[in-house]
Amino acid sequence: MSSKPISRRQAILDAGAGLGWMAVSSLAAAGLPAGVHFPPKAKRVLQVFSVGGMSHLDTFDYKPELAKRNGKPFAMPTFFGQGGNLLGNVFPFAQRGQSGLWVSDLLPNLAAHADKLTVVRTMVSKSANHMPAVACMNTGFILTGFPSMGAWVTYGLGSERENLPSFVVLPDLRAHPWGGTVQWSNGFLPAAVQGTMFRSSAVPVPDLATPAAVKPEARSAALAWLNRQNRRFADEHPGDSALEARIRSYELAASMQLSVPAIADLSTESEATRKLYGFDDPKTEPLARQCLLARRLLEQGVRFVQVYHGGSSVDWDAHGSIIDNHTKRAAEYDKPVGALLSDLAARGLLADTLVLGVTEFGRTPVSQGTGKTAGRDHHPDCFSCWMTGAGLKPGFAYGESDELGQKPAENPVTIHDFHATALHLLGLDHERLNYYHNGIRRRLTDVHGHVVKGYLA
Amino acid sequence: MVIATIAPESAQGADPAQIAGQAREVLARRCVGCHSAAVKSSGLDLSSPGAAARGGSRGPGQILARVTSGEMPPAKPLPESEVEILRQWQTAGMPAWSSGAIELRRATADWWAFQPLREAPPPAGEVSVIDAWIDAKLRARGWQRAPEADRRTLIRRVSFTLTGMPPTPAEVLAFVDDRRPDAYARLVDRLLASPHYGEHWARHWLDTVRFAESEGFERDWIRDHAWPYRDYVIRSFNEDKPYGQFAREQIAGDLLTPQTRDGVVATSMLVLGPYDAVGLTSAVDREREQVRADQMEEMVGLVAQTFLGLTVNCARCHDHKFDPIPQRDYYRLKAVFDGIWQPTTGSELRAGGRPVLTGAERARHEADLAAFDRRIGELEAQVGQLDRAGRPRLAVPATVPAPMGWWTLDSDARDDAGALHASLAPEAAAFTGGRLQPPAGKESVTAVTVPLTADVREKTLEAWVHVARPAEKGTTLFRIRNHSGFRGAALDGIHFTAGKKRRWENASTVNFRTDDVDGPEEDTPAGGRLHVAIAYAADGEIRLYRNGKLYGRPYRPDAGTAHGKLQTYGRQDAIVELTSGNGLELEQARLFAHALTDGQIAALFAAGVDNAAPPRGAEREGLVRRLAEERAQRRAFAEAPARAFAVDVRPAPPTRLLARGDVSQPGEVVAPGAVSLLRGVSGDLGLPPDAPDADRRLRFAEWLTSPENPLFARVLVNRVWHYHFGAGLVDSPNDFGYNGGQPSHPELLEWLAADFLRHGGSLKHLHRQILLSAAFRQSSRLDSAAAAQDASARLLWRFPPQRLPAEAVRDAMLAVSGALNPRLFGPSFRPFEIIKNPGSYHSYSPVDSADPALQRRTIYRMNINSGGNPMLDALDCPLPSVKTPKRSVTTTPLQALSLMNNPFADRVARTFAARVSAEREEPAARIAWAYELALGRPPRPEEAASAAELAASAGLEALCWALFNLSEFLYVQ
Repeated sequence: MSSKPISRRQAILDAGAGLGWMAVSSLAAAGLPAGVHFPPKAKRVLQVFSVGGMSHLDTFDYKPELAKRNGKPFAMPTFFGQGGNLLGNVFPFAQRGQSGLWVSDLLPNLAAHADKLTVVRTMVSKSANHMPAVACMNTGFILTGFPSMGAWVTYGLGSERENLPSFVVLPDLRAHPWGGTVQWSNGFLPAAVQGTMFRSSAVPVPDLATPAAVKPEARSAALAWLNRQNRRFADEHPGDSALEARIRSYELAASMQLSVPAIADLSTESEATRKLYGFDDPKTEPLARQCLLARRLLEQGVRFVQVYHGGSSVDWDAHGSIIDNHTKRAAEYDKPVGALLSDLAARGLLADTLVLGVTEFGRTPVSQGTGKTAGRDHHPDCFSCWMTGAGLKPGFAYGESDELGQKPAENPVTIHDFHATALHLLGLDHERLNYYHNGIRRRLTDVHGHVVKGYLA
Repeated sequence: MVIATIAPESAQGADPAQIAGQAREVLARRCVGCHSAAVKSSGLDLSSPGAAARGGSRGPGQILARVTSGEMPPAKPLPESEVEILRQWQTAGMPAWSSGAIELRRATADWWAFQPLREAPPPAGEVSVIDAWIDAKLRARGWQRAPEADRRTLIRRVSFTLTGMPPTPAEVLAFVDDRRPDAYARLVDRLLASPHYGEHWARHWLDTVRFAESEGFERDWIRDHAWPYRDYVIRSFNEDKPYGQFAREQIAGDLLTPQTRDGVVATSMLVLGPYDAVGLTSAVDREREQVRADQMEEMVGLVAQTFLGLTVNCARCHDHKFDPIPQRDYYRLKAVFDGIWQPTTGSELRAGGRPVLTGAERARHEADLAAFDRRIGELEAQVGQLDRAGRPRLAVPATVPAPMGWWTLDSDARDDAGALHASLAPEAAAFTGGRLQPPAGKESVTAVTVPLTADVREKTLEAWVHVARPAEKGTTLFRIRNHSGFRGAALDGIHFTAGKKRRWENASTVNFRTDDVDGPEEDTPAGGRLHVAIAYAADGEIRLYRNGKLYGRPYRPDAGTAHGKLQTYGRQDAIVELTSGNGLELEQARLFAHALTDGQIAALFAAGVDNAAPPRGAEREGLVRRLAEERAQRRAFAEAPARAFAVDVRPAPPTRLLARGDVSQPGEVVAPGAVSLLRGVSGDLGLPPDAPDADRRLRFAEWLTSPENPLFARVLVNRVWHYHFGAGLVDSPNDFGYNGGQPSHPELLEWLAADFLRHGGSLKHLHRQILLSAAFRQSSRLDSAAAAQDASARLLWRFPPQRLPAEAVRDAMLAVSGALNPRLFGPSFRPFEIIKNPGSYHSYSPVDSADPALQRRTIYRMNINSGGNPMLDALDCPLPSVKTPKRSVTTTPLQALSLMNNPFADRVARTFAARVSAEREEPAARIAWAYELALGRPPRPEEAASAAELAASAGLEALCWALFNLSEFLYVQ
């Protein structure tokens, strides 16, 4: 009846059988896990987002020439139009581990994992403005209304555990990232794939707990009655798969009411583990909670976990003093993230988890501000992201920036390339993972993106 | 798109099959778009070797000649390598290729949707034309339409379809008992006349036009004045406004009917998209241009998708991949709207709306404002005259050049040296003791001057300051700044900082020109007086002075860089702001267009300040009182008109085609126009590139709604059909191009569109046609044979059951529980707390309460981009900023959790139970009543028994809760 180029995935979703789709059994191709286009290296993703723009020049991209030319004038356009003189790295760098990967002293715990890390030093984004740039890292687009990567991955792979959301977001409790909840939106994809916000509290998910005024036995009786009525209604209306799905959704909801608080309850973790993550220090404690919860979610089969460090105005946005800002942020970030990597490795989870350490852009090689308050401006033309886990070359730095770290000197990696490669590791072809919307078969990678073979194992 | 060229095999040894394969590739990419089997431009079909050999109207053997002469393909000559392939192919005698005729995977000019409306005579024997076409398809498959649904099902279905609300038990009974033959038609008429009809159908329209009441992007601030558009849409539906008029008003209502407010309000549609406040004020030109270009794509996409079902926005960077929309058409359409801006910039319009006045009102309003300004100016002059008369003539020491601005601040904020007069908000006017003072209860007050009349580069700011009390907070007392925006705007000024050290500094932190000059700590006690000055020298040096002496060290902010550059404060743009606050009060301020020397500053300090209190006679006091009254009245008057988030029109720059959509690659200038793909309707609007905005939008509106434009009616009737049956005849309501596919019932779509136009574009007529058809009235019973082939019942072998949209679920819960506040229209209710985060970024936390204002229908809820509601979101409520012609329908555990536990669901279930208890005495009667209210039917005996048992053991509220969670409650059969 229609030549509309919709995919089988989309057809199943459009038929209204959201749950049948979530279990994705119907998509399983012979010999392959559900939903994938080819055998995957990774089954799940952990993304740690440093909001505000972490400086590549003070973390992973060592530029001796920039240090040498510190204080020399250099003309380049900047977001605020207030570019100062060149500013060398303000934290000492060293080569780490067997691999000799360059990491600055700002991130000692992460540096200890150097031999496991893959650093891309030639990331390129499309906006020098926080909100669109965060959106770009999440969705590939600088405008709002597009699905974030977690939503696409959920759409592509479905959930491993049907009584847990497949895409979980752990925001920084001090502030949301710029743009707020639209950063983990389903965009035009069905609501079922949107990110679910978790907090490490008694009610980690909205509407999870039975209201306090409702007696548990009254709720059980009502649920049992409801189930019988809905069962009979479905029987009287054969052929409506949505009615069956509704019955199942209530069973899963009840199951989530038990499973989610159990996962969010961090008190069951040992004192040693809590100390490892940094629960004993008020500086590290907030991100430690998010990271530990992330591990527990990944362990339980959640497909995509996104951890935000920082939000609007409590972030890595070092316009003023880069020393003050990055020292403060790194003190919150380094220990919990390092502990999370150790913990994932110890539990064997790194073998099939892809970990992405991202930020929306880097920072300029020229200073912003002067004297004691020298910082760096937004810089989307070249920045660094780190990764670890399945399918990557470990202890490896991909791409080289120019001598000032201003632009890629070789092998630029666009956000689309970065996304295409991540999907590839998950067994998804970024060109085939698409969804028809208002005239276009939309993709995470728009009409761009190449799998970067250069950093794959 | 960049297409790699195809290289020929070397001439020797290339076998015919290989040459043919390469030729096929060239023809497929470059030629068959026009010379296909279907289009046959110039009679030529190049989709197969046989047809190609036959040639077109110019006869055979012409292909190579046309190509080598550069005539074909038009404007895009083939690369030599590809010409060579065609040459070899022709030389080889046009051998056949093995892979079959070239099939176009895109639409060409002959695509069904681009043709004029063509009505075919319907199959005979049916009462309704709709049923004739539907039944013909069913018969062809050997299926049968379902029998008519029972009356309870029917009234529930039609009530939700038209009003988004359930029928009341009384309405159900009245319909069930109505034995008149036209009972159903009467029901339809009653519902169409209900004000709730417009409320429900407005929601559909708002989905399509992405009605958002916040700006999105980084800040997501609220748009206080978007709601009048929502009311305009509701009223338009309720009045059955002809669709052509409805469309014209939304494109150009401000021009068509300047005598009505609706005309202005209607244009909100164009500008309700996201607004990148930060990007649009970026210091980088490219960034701003990029943001504006994105904004225009959003607007062009909206207009073309909404009214034409064309994804013209896909042609921004290159010709459309699937439809015959050249890139040029995108820029023609963009030119129509290039004068349109969102009403969010400009300080007066910060609240996100523009005044809505009819043409006559506007003229009167402006005249009245001018009269106020005249009276205020006269009064100010009189007061100033009195004051100056009682005081010796002002002078500066002979060694110092004359100041550019001199504010003595004795009785007003006028400039005593020139015309840089400053003004204050009326209630803030306070001049006592010969200085500017905050009014009682206020921490600070600022007077703002008119813009400079000459550029200022090197300069000195000088001020006398009275210390009422030692300041505890940082305060900028006297500054100059470029007014045109935050980013990229320069700023310098005298700033007192109360941080770690209490000291003076240059105010321009925002420009990164501030530094600690290591001056001594400020220790002037309360009651003391200070002289502070900052000189900005031509070489970039900044010098601070306190009481006539250099304060700390002079500095240059990063010499040789943008920080270090001397800022230019532009004429007609830069303003001066004078502030008293936090205990520091200005006695006098002077602006010099010179960087004064140490000696000149010392001389100014030595000369002191003439701060003699002006004479305060009764005459002056009377004048001052009248002045305050006039100012207060002016402010109230200026703020009185209603506001709307409607178009802000500015002169449009020439529209240029952008190569690859890249703002840094502008090409030829393009005149405003419409799309060119419609047969028999030219997209040329006959406008020059510099036509005024009014001509552009009026001509386009005329073109859009002309009866010759077949898409206009087709797209609309398809939308309306979609909202009756859950799917359109074309299943992609915003895309009638190639990707939208063929309609399920082409002849029916044509007839509906033609009939709609014949009836003046009346939506209510269209509703009646559809609702009275047997196709709509049939039951949703299953036919296994039909279901096996057409599970979603697109051919309408039954009425397809549908889950209620999120808004209808909430509204039905409110209506059934008796909590619904039926108030129509007005500002949106706000079921959230606004969280104002650092960095001017707002977020929204949902709240629930029994406040009647929050019990209104969901259409009146404020639509905030980042302000979702867990229950409505889980029920597939779209993001406000996303154009949503068709909602997805999902079933998830999170949806179940929300309906189970959301505070709203819990509260309303209790209200429902309380209502039932209050309205019925007997337990059995209560259960029966709860069923009637929630489901529009009495319980069956076994249901009544088990429900009674549940109510007895778990409480009536448990039963009421369960009724709201029934599939039967959420699905319309």
